[in-house]
Amino acid sequence: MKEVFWKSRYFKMTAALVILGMLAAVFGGKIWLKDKIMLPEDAHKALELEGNAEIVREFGLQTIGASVINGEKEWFGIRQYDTEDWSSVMRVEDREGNVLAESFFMDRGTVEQKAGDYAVLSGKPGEWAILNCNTLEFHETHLTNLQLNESGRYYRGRDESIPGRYLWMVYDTEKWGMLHESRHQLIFPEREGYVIENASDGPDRIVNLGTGEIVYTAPEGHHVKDGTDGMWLMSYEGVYYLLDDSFHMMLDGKVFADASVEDGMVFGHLITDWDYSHLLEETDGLVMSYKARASAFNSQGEQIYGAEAGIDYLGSIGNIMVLYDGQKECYIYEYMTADGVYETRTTEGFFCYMDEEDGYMLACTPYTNKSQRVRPKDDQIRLGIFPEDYKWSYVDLSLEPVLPFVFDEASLSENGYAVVYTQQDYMAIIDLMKRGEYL
Amino acid sequence: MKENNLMDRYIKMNFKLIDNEMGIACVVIGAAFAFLSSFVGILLLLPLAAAAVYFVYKGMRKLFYESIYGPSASLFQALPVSASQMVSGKIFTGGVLLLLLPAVMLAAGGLMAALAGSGVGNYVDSLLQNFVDEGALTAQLPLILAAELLVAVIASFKEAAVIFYGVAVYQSLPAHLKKWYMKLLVVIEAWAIQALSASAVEGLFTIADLDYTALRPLLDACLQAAVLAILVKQIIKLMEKKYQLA
Repeated sequence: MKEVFWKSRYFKMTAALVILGMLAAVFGGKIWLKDKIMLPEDAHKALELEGNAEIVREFGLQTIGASVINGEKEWFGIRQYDTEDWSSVMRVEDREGNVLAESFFMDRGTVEQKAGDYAVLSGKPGEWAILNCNTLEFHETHLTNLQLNESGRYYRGRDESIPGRYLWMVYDTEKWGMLHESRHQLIFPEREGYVIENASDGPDRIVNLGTGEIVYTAPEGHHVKDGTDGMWLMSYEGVYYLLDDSFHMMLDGKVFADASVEDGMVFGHLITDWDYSHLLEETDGLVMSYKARASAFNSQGEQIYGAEAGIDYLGSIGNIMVLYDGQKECYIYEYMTADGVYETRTTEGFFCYMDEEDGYMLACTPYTNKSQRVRPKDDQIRLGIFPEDYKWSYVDLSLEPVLPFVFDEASLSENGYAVVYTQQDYMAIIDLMKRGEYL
Repeated sequence: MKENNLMDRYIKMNFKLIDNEMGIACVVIGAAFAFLSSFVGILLLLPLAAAAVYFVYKGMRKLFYESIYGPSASLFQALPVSASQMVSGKIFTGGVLLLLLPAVMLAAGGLMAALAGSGVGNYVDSLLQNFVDEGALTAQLPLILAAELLVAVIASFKEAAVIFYGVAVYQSLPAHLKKWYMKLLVVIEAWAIQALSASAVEGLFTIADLDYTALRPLLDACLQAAVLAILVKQIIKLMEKKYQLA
């Protein structure tokens, strides 16, 4: 047969044509599909993209996890393949789908946290590592429950071999090195370069991460909650107050019913009037009743926002505060303009969640339960839990949706990239900035 | 006469034998797909497709039956070609006809897309979309396209070989066994070979829950080539037996 084949001009011509056709298909296909992502028809229908975002990488039905771990310079998707024995391969890919690294040390790994150029990855119980998103180098550690501080320069972890022992590490340009160890719970405040030691059997302390110096020891009964540029948030018997950089009380001794600090500001319910006539007795002591109003102060102690009575402060990110009007039963979004004045922006039919990185916020339509409009709890979103029965999308800082609310799940965005899920297992990474309005 | 010229001349003669049917089938199927976007085109699709099938049938009948077992058999038997040359020449000719039909369909669709103003680019995308809907990832599409082209070519020759094999098996039966039910059995056998070989790899990938990558069409191409090789060997054996007996 071979002899017959090679002796015919027609056969040889056909073979040559097929080879040419295959080469044309490969190179022509590469040129044709450059910068193009094609999705299955049903996924197109589900996504219903309307030009404000671009799908930059699609994942097949086999994929059970994906994350954007560095979207600024060159983003990476992490894929896991579900196999029968539940072992899986973690891969880091560029936006064209080229594999940059795979077969990491861990099975079923997930991205726990992203900070600066680093990502905390967790795998099997007891397997934690820090990935440098630029170099793809792993820093493996025997510590668990790793947490990076906001810049990614420091991390803390728990040493499982010694109960109650925590360690923190500092990263210099060469290597990770142990700086300090403690038997206290360690908290990274919003303030860069410090760690808070919360001890059950001793005073709270603030430690300078760079030098190891204990810069403040709280009095008995007082606790250090958080810190931001210019202020430290303290609590004492259920109320919150502020200390300045010299650890002196700020705001003329004003206290909050609850408060959080961020970007050099404090947001919370400022207690305006104690009402001792409504003392409530509880089994473990007395709880005071008081009037409190949602307020915001800057680090100079100037009040920049004060809500009307009955408005509850829920949370804030960047220039937006989320409030709740108990009487009207509606959410209020207060947006701080360039002049430092708060303006109310309203949303219709959806709730916003905060993602301060890139000007896009995660949002979802409410789930109606027993004629009540219910939204997922903020804690669930922070933990990456996206309850069913909601439809997710993204809004810009003017609270305008950039995409229709069609996703069954959606991750917090990272530098304008976000992982969206639809039709159960189908997922894609979308570029929110592509053709979208960016404030 | 050189041997390679002989083989080429034999193939050319086979093309001549069925060129009318090939031409008409291509024109008819091209017309059917070119006007598919219009209402009249949809109405005419079935009759035109049936006409194309009829002319393909006529071509195949001439190629694999009439020139071997029919009235013109003695003329073709007089040609100085070996059984393997004859079989490969006929399968090649039949394969080209079967390959031309989808090529004409695609070209007609592209032409109409260009004329209708929807754009050749959109048409190409819609073709690629079929692969994506099957589960292919965009990055894999160029390799998949190349491999699927290989599959299409080999599968066309294999389909021609299946038809030839069916005809040869039935004709090789003793006269007393040439009954309608034997014809039916041979048709079922040919159909089973075609159906199994065409869907085996895809079925395995579906069962094993594997992604649609270039590996699938490459394995498919290997399977089609293997089936083609087996069929060609079997047909050559049958032809040698026939000529020895003759």
